[in-house]
Amino acid sequence: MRAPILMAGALGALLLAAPAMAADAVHGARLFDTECADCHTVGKGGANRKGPNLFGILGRPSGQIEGYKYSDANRTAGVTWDAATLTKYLAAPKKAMPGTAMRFAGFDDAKDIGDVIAYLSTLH
Amino acid sequence: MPSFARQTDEPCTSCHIGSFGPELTARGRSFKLLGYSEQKDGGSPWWERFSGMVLGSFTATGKKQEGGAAPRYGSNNNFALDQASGFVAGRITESVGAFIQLTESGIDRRFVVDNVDIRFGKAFNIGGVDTILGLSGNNNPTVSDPYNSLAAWGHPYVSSALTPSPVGSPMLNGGLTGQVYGVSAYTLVGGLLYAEAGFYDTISHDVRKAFGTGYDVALAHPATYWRLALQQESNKTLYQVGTFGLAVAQRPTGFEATDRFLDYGVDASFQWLGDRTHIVTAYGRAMREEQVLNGSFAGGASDNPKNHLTQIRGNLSYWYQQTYGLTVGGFANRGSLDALAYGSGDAITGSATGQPNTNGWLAEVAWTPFGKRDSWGGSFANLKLGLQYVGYNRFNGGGRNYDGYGRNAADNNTLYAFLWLAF
Repeated sequence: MRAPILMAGALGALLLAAPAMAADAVHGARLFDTECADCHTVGKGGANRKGPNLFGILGRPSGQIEGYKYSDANRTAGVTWDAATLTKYLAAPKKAMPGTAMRFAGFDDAKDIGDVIAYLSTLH
Repeated sequence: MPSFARQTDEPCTSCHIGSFGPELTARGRSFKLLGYSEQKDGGSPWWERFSGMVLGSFTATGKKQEGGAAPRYGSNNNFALDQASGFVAGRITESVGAFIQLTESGIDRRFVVDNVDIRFGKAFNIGGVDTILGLSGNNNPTVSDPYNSLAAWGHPYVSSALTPSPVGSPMLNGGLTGQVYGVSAYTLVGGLLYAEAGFYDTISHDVRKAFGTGYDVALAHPATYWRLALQQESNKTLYQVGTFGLAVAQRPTGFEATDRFLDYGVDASFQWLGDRTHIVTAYGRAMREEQVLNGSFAGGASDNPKNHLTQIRGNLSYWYQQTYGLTVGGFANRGSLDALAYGSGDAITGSATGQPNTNGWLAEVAWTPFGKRDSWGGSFANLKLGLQYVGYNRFNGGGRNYDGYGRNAADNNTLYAFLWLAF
């Protein structure tokens, strides 16, 4: 009777560990460079370009960078950027936030989104 | 355009496949649909709206063209300054921008108001669906299209003007270019459905004279253009299928009766960008034109009161590191037998059979060393060097002796080496 409990425990540990193992911030940085860096800077105090600076983005409410001209959609969205909201947004920005000025077409690979979020979470 | 790159502070690769226009990425299509008006945070000075380009070339055909490939040019192996263009391209105000091209043709030695596209475009939230609504004022049906599968922005993006051109081309292949003005309304709904419809009318004779454009278009009433496309795009891919059409009623010079042209067709686009190391794109279109030639037939310019033209084109491209590109493609035109309309009786440009049937293939290699985020020249200058070969299996209705003077289709095979500088 002990074996099923041990197996359940091992499976639970594996599931808990799986997101950390699956997210690759190094790959996320490369994806960011390819897909995002033309419009966004990531350094602390970095300039806004076509898009706002993303340093400290995780945990930040949307539309809050002072001096940056956000779209009405972003400024009034009332979301806080975390793993869940970013996952939805990066998959289909125009669907998650209709009218957004970010015209990025969206990542078609869920793992890529996780990796980019893992990279963004290092920016603090 | 470099002016767009300066305005947005984004590299050419952000909007263009292969680091050089006009082939557009998803970002580029979005920039166009939103009125060329997006800009870097803090804005951009007015002088960043100006750009220029120069196109130079060498053309060699399979057989020389007696009398010269064009006035002031030799019969073969010609170097040319094909064109020099100035652009006003960029933001006018929020959601409004322009793409205005003024060209000095080095072949024709004339100044022309070339492509014009002035537009409003904005994204809205309509019923929870992202919807772009826009208006385009332009002078050429299909110049407003966001895809690279129709005439105005389809491959080949440059080609030699010092080689014989086949007779018989549908109106949508530039038959109205620069001689009309029009307005179209467009929308992209939910990133899936693109729809556009517009009307065009003839520019006055005096204005066309000032613009340097031709005078062979005289619309009896406004022409109608329509366009529908379904697309699915992501950061790596584009899948697009669509339909398009143009209805024209034209009054041939000196006649009251009109010629009517109905163009309709289907097209498709595919792009796979991956991580940008290897990029594959493919485009194709098939178009048919129904001609009711009441004016031309009555005036003795056509054997038939009705003719038709069918045109199919396709091309496949591969880009390595957005720097080295290879394109292959094919084309085929077929049409009615009409000696008066297509015969001409001229050597090289005529058709002994009176048919416009032409088909062949092309291949092009290109090198674009700049245009990346860390490239020399940044957003100031960009360069494309290319070598293009067009081979004809059939030309103006024949493979051998197509003009009745002994010229074969393969004699018009063309090697075109070009240097294309944008700044």
